[in-house]
Amino acid sequence: MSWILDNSLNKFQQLVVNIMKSGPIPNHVGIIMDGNRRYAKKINAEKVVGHSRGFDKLSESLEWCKELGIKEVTVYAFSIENFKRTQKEVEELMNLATEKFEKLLDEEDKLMSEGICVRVIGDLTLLRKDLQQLIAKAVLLTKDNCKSFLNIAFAYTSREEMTSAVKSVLHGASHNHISLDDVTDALLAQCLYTYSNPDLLIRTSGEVRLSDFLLYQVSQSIIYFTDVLWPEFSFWNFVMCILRYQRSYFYLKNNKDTSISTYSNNMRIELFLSDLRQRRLDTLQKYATAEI
Amino acid sequence: MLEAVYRFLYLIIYSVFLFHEIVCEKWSDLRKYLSDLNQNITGPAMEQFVFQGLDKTPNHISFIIDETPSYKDLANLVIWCMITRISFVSFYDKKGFLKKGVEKLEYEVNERKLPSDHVFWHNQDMDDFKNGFSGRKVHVKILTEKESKKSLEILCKKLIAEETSTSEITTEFIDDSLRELYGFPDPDVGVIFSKIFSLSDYPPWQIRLTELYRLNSHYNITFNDFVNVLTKYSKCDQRWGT
Repeated sequence: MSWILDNSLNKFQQLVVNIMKSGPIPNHVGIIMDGNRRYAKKINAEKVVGHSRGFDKLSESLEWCKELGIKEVTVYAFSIENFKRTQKEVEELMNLATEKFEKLLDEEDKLMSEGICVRVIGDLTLLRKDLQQLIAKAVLLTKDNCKSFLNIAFAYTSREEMTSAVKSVLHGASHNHISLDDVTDALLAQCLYTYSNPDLLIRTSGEVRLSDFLLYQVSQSIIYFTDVLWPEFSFWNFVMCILRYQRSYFYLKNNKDTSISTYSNNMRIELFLSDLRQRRLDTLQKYATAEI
Repeated sequence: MLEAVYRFLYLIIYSVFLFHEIVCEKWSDLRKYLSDLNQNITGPAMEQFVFQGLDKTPNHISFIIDETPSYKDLANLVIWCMITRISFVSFYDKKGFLKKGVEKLEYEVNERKLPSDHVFWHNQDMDDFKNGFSGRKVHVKILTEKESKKSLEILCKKLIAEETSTSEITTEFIDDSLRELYGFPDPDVGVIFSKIFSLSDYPPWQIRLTELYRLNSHYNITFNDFVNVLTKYSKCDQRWGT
């Protein structure tokens, strides 16, 4: 199954999408896609089948997001903790990821014409060289697209992300790029791999914790836990999520001011941040051109 | 024109959804009311009740409040935590009401506790903070913005001042340093008292594996509500990524 689907909604679903768009739509949705293995067990299949179905569901839900006008999606694909799984499963997952990122690169035309920017957040040094290269190529290829954003958390934990942000700030301070007064929680937020905060966070399969996903970024998000297993997550489940979001949105709007925080940085910080981002791109460039 | 139709249909769908939600809520309120009538648990019976059928209890439970605090109800929570042998109780209140009202909370708790119970208040300077107390004990802390995102900023500034090398910085290092600032172990359970399921800027580092539950309000919270949360927690199964 490909990453970018052509409209898969039927007429009735399309009508519902149009109706839902009359209400507030989140700009950015985070998803913890949980329940692939339980699904595999349920249908008596190998774990890898569950993961593969999970991927298909991802393409489908990206399509729903696009139709609804959701600009940014961040998904939890693979946690650093997941490396603790059996060697066989980790290997299968890495092979699946390799296959999917190859596929993504094959879909270059679609990615570019739809203006999709793909970012992979996580500690890429933990990955196989060939996977590093594929990821780097995909990210670099789409880095200037800005119509919609897909962030894939891969070899990711939020604590590792926060640690890396602290390191970046320390590095900047020790090289006198920033002063002590520049060090604020806002600066740290901007040093994270992704610094756009989801409006809505969805976790499937009945678990009610964040499991080290975007801890810093979801601190004001509306959280929605559902019992459905990820591969079984349907269009109608998604509509329910959006309705819940809308209810919370109206409630928040009535009760407190929802001030959108924008960062106001001085020149020094701007320079430091653009330097940090450039260094990250350089690392990707190195991966992309490495000989394997 | 078409847009007006969509908007009209949206209004209908949203109203039906809202109606459904409200009916569900009222229904569960009614069920709760009836079961509270049947089981009016008091005093010593509470202890017995709790120790039946709970496989595990949290070490640290954190309550996230986004309404004006009701000290009477919060004091009940502290006492119930003590009964269920939960060692650490924290209250997070973004608006900072609780921080100012901590004496009121202390007063309400003292009204309810047994003379042999020990409640350690972590927001004051404590010098009599030793082990070796007999009887039930519980540690209580009010969390504020300082323990939230600011704590990472504070830590960062400290590390810069100490000229710590980046090679020393690991996730474990930050975890240890933040725990020193935060003072409590990571919460096992987080109960959000709000109409909205949102963390209100709760300390991000600590919330990694916290089981999160939401209740509409802490006003008039009953022992049954509390036990329901613990029962859910006792059934959850953490897989630690594997």
